[in-house]
Amino acid sequence: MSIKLFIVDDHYMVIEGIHALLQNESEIIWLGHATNAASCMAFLQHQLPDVILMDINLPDKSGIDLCKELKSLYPSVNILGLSTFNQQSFIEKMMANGASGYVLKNASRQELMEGITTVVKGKEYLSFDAAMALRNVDKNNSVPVITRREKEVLELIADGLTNNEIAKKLFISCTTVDTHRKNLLSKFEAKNIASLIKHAMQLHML
Amino acid sequence: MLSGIKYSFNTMKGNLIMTQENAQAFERSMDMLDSSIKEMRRVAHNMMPEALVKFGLDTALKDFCNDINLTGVLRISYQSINIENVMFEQTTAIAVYRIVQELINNTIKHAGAENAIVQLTKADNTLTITVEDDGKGFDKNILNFSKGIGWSNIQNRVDFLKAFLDVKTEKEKGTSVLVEIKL
Repeated sequence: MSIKLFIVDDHYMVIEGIHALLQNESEIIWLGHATNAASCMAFLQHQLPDVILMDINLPDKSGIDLCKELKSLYPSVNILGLSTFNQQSFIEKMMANGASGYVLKNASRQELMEGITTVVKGKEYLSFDAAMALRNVDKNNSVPVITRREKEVLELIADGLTNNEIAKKLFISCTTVDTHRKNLLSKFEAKNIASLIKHAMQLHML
Repeated sequence: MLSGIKYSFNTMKGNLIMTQENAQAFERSMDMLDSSIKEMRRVAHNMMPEALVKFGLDTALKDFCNDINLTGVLRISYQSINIENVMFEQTTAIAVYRIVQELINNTIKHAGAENAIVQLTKADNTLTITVEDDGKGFDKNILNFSKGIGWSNIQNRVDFLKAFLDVKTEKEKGTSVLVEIKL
């Protein structure tokens, strides 16, 4: 099975490097390369690759925006994000904008090939390091996390004190008490204070 | 660019004929190149995380907390209320990011804590930052005599932001730091 590959990256070294890395792969047909978003789009008007390796950092437009634009015009093209950035935010945004996968520039030839052959089938691919970055530590979603000050305010609200009284007792301003109050309502998804207290008691936080 | 060099050398390795010694030296050099790249990236990222510049404070802090969670040294819960889509002035955003970075670094180094909370809330024009941990706390008085530059950095940034700083801490009871900034 032959795969038509195109690469967009503003560093020649990377383009040459990947070229060299994949030169022995018989499946890969190189359509060309671009060093910025504009020339990439121009090229696509003449030829469509199966897979595009797309750098996030391009001089004229972010790879994330380019990805979105490209996918809307040419949905059949599969995009593999390529980057040095291992942050959850970059990976999530790239995938949300239509990328089929994400590979870090420290990936091995094997990972790169795996990525290319996986996305060309229309499946999603994350390199090992990219997948690790997206792994969220298990969060205890049922119990809202509240800060110490919020807890203090919550207890005093439950005792029936007014904002003013709470402010005096904790040596903070009334506006601060109000902020804590609003945040508590938001965290417990409560419409009013009565509901807030009920939730808190059910969760044994009071 | 360094990654590109690495790729090129890797390929050259397959095409060159080297003596045994040269091959070993080559492999060692490749390893050193690899470590240098990792280290440089780590330093650059700590100095100015790309996400802060590109996506803003909320995303950058979420990434920061997520990165720490992945290392397993501390479990941080990141809470943000009314912050999504708020465009902060860059100098403010950087200062806030640094304050949180410094406080969490303190927690990791000194508190022996298991859990921490980083919370950002915005109400009207006030941004409230709370960084808390369940570690061993400290005697608040030592802040007046601290020789390290950590706390003075935090204080400097707080002063720069014309913000209000409050530290609640007691031995064995954890630490809670609050910063209130008028935007």
